[in-house]
Amino acid sequence: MATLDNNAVIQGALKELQGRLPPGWRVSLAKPPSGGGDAVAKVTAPDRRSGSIWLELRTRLEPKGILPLLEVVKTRVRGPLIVVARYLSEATRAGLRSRDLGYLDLTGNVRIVVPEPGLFIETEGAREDPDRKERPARSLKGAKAGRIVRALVDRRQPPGVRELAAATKIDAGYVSRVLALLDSQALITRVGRGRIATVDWISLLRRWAEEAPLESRGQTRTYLEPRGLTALVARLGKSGETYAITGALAAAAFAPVAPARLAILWVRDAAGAATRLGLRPTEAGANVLLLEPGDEGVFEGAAPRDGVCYAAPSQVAADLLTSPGRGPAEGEELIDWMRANEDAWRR
Amino acid sequence: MIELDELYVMARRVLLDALDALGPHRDAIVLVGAQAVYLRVGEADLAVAPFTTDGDLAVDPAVLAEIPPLEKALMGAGFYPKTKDSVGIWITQRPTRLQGNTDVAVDLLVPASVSPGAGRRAARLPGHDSRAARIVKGLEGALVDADVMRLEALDAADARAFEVRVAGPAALLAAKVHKISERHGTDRQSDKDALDVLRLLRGTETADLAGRYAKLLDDARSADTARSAQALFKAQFSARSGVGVAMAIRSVGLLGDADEIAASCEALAGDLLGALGG
Repeated sequence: MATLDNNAVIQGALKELQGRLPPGWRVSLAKPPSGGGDAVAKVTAPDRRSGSIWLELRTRLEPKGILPLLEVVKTRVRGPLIVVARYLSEATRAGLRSRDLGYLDLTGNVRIVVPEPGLFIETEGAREDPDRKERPARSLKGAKAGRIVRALVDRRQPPGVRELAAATKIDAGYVSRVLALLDSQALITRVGRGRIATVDWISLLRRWAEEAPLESRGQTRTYLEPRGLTALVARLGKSGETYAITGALAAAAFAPVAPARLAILWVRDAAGAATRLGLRPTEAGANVLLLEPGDEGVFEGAAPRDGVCYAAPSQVAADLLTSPGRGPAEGEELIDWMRANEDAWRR
Repeated sequence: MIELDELYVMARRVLLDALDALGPHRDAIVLVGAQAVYLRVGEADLAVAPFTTDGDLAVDPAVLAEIPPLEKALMGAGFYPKTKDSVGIWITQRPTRLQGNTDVAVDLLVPASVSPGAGRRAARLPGHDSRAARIVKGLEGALVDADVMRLEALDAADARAFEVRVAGPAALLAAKVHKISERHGTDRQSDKDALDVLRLLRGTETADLAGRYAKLLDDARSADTARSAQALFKAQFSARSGVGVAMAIRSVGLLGDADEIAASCEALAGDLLGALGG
């Protein structure tokens, strides 16, 4: 059934076809015979001989969809058939060629064989789906999305796609998809579909925290430092450990929040770090959480202060927003500080 | 410390007044009690008022001269006995900004095992008023584990400073557990004493604390007290059910987490007892 959208594709296909025909050839839309194909195109040679091409429309066709398609069309199509879509991947086109099926996509990938009146066209168009980057990522749950969020929040000048991809070591295609999501959610604004104009970093941080809460971003283990957090901080300052303090203890290093009761640290290896720092595993009464990150991005922008290493404020804020106890309130206090002191933390 | 409570500043000033007044007797004095705990280990992350305004001074009879009489020296500096029956409690009155005049006390205490007086309370130091100082059980360690520290005023306008012996963490720990045991179940029980024990445990490396404690066990003056204190300490702090743990938890109240306090007491008490060989 030809919908409006399908009509647009058919019209586009005819136009594409006309552009590829040898001089003197014409193409027009014929009335499809009952029961067969989405449309039939009629090609006419300069000597007025003509032939029909059955057009089979697909929104998308993957290689594994080729056999089922053959099953459907073989009974009802009598003559040359071409699959028409906005875009057909190289693998799909190869599969179609091996079964002697024609194809045409709107990027210019075309293969048409009409024995009578003798027409052969094979051209190559785009190698990648030009619409792919417009398909937004679905959420900010994953580690890669997290890195992109952090990079966007931390930069004073909104970066370009390529710069973002390089900074986060994530392929530009995925960066584009995350940006499309952020754009659709009004968390960033863009000039057209391109350059980022503004980043609403506060809403972006909150959304990220909501979709990727602290416990989803790492493995948590609980410990006791029986001498209290000041003793822990002093020991960290002397240790060779790779860590980044987050949570209220880190927030207190930037913003005026109440003294922390719980130390939260990102570390690569919790059990090893606990041993080296003299922490004791505990169920009840823990005052230290060691988190093994699912992604190294948590260490991005971490910096020493008074001899100990604190996670970047944006990381700390997102961690706090989904921390236990007073965490969410402290996260908001830190965001207030970040809002008032952008120069102190944005790069 | 960012902003000191007016009362802390005053307590330190009165303590310096007393040390000043005691003049030549200062060599026989060891600072003990909560102010000594604070000097040794600070608050140790336990955000509860670290000391009251009282100052506790232990007197070593073996060093104390007979003149001038303690009472004369103190009364000359504006201290007077709290009541006509009180023993070893010396009061002075000071104005506060908001609460009018307040009493600040300095207590003179003599460790029981070295006290010349064999009575229940009065230390009966020769040459001094019989009520000038009082006998206290468990304080013997202060004569053994103590270091000279410089005690300065907390008020920038007050330039005074004295070199004075301050009881070490092992002596303070032994004294506190005796005090807890003695006052447990009476209306004189103070939960803050248990918090001071936890502060001492937190603020002192186990090896240092155990080394100092071993000296208490090794010195004839303090050995008995230290042995009994070790047993009391184990009962009070090494298990969650101990009275010391319960007191520390109550003392911290809403400012801390009960489980964390309990687990910290158990862990650090276990460390110390382990280092002492049980």
